[in-house]
Amino acid sequence: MALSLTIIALVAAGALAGIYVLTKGPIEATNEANKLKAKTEVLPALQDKDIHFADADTVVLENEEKIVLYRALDADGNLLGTAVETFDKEGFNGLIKLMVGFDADGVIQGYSVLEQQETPGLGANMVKWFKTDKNNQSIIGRKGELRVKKDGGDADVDAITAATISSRAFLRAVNRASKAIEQNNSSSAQDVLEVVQTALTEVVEDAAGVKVEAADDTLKVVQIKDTVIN
Amino acid sequence: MGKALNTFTNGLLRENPTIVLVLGMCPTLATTTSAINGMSMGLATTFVLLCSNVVISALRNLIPDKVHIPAYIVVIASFVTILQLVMQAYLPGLYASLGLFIPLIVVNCIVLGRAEAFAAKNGVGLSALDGLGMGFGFTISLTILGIVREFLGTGKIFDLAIMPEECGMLVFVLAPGAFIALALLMALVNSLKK
Amino acid sequence: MENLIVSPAPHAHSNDSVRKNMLNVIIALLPAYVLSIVAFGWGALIVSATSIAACVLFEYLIAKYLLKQQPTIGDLSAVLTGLLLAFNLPSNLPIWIVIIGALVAIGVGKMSFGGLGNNPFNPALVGRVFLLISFPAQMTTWPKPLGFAGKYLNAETGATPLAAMKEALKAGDASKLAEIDVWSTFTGWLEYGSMGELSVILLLIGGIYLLCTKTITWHIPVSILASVFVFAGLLYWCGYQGAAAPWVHLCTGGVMLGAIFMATDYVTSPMTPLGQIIYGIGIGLIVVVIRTWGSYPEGMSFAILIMNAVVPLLNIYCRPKRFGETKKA
Repeated sequence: MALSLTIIALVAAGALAGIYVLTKGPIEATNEANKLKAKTEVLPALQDKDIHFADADTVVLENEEKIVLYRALDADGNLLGTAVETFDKEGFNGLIKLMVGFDADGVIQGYSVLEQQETPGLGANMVKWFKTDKNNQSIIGRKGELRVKKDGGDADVDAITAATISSRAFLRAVNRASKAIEQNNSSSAQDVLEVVQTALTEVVEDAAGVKVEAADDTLKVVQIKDTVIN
Repeated sequence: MGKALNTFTNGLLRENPTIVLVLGMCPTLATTTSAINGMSMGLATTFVLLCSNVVISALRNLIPDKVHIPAYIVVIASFVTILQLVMQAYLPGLYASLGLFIPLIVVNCIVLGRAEAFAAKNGVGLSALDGLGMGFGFTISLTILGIVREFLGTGKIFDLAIMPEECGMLVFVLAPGAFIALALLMALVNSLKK
Repeated sequence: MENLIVSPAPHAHSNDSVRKNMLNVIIALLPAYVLSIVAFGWGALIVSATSIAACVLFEYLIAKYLLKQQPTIGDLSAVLTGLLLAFNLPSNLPIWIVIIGALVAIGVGKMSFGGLGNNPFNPALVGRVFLLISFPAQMTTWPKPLGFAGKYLNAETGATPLAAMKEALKAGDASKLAEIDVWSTFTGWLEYGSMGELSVILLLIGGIYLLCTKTITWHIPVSILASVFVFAGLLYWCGYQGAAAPWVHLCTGGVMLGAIFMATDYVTSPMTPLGQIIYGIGIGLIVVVIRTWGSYPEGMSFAILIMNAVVPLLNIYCRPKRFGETKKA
């Protein structure tokens, strides 16, 4: 009795092990492709270009929230766009997770909803609503802080019919992503400044008073002590 | 030959697992949100039914009665896992849409039920036919239910838009509509049988 | 004596008394109906006429051709179902949606169980909930009262007091509740809502008429209203973030309509006074729970349907003692 069960189990295990080995490669490839697809589909303009995604960057916003973003770089390392994983916890029915794609200037290129539990037919329509170009409801091509029409402000977005709370949550998530991009860009700009500063201090001898500032895309080097070098 | 044909057609209408035996309700209600999902679920279950019926029938004289349930479950679970791995590797889209319900085929009452009721007592050939028949019967009912729900819910059939989507009654894509649609389908078949 | 067989209730009523009761309920609904036509204009007339006509037609067709029975539309129960269904709908709902609602209410909610007397669920509510889940956007936008009494489908729309209450709860912030003018929900003037949700006063007048004509007893409406007041009051006075005052709960949405007209439906409510009181308390509790923590702003229809399912149980356990019956040891 135990023998027959053991034999069956052994044969089954053997067969499964074989199939597992056979399918391991394709499964991994599919998972990688899925991850890549999640990022590229929010950046439709870049789909034909030869880009690769940098590793995940985590940005910590002011209120301790962490946002993960992936910079899309071309072959020379230039920033072409960013895919940001963002969220909002105050959806009508809880957590909403989005992937939003921005170009290098922070203009929204596309989005996809990763997770949501909103009411079907109402809040759940966010999957397509904010991409549809009518009635001022699309967020594609917009930049900066977005609000629903009801809440006023310049960038008024038409909310989903009868689903204002879900729409607000969606836009809050998008705004988080925009803020994360801004913060990331300014901190990477900060990194550049620091590199230039250290390089200059090595070159100039009277180094103590060298300060590098960024103004309007150009770098101004201001020496505190005597001479001003531009 | 007559017996073989009888066995095969048994599962299609006379003892259709969904409408008559009312087995496997969980995947029926959950995966028939669209016609293609329903059909794929049915075909996946048919594969498992066929394989498990054949193997169990072949081994029926070797498995002692006391351990027959665990033995059947091991066989069924193995085939379901094989199916799952193959789908994950080569049919990722379908795998994603059927999701949790693929591994749940193991506990689909139809599979274990046919193993106990038929494969344990009949030869390999007949068991294979029974598995195929039941599987196809299941697939047909799931496909029909899927078509009805997809059409009434979104106006499409197999993703081809037939009615504008705004006319779709959302409830049919959700759980309550599944129950109502299944009930109406059963009522229809019962009234036709009279 | 052996030839007299008394089967357990529900008993089949002869057509006459059913008709008399249905007529009384329809009369009781008239004041609120008139107000809704005044407030919502053509839309109210179109929706209610379509609903009533469709319900009667479907009952006739299904009884005659599907069930092969004598149609019983003369007992006015289909008319009442149609009117109550219309009362639960926004008056700018397109006709084809109303017709689908009537088909489901009569076909699935009533006839599929065998006709009047056999249905476990209130048919008008079955229709209404079906429509709510199927067409959530159309079912949750209401036209502005007196917005333009002539317009039907293109009336200006707005949110109801219940929507404001839901927003307040989600935000945990009671300031949104200031938008609700409680006095006007009581009198029914100028509030957004379904046709039957407008005026508490007129519905109460109808309710008093029903009590006077002994069409309904006080147990169900009083227990529903009292338990809504108590449970909502508990939340409010314990300072739950964003909770509305209990009298606001009573005057908004379908609580008054449901308590007086829908939960008291003979077929789907308990038969004994004790059962009716428990039924009412259950409805009140569920309504407050759904309104506070649920996904939908309105919970009355769901509450009544859920308790409808419990009614057979209540009928078994709340049986009054027969004369001379003693408990088995």
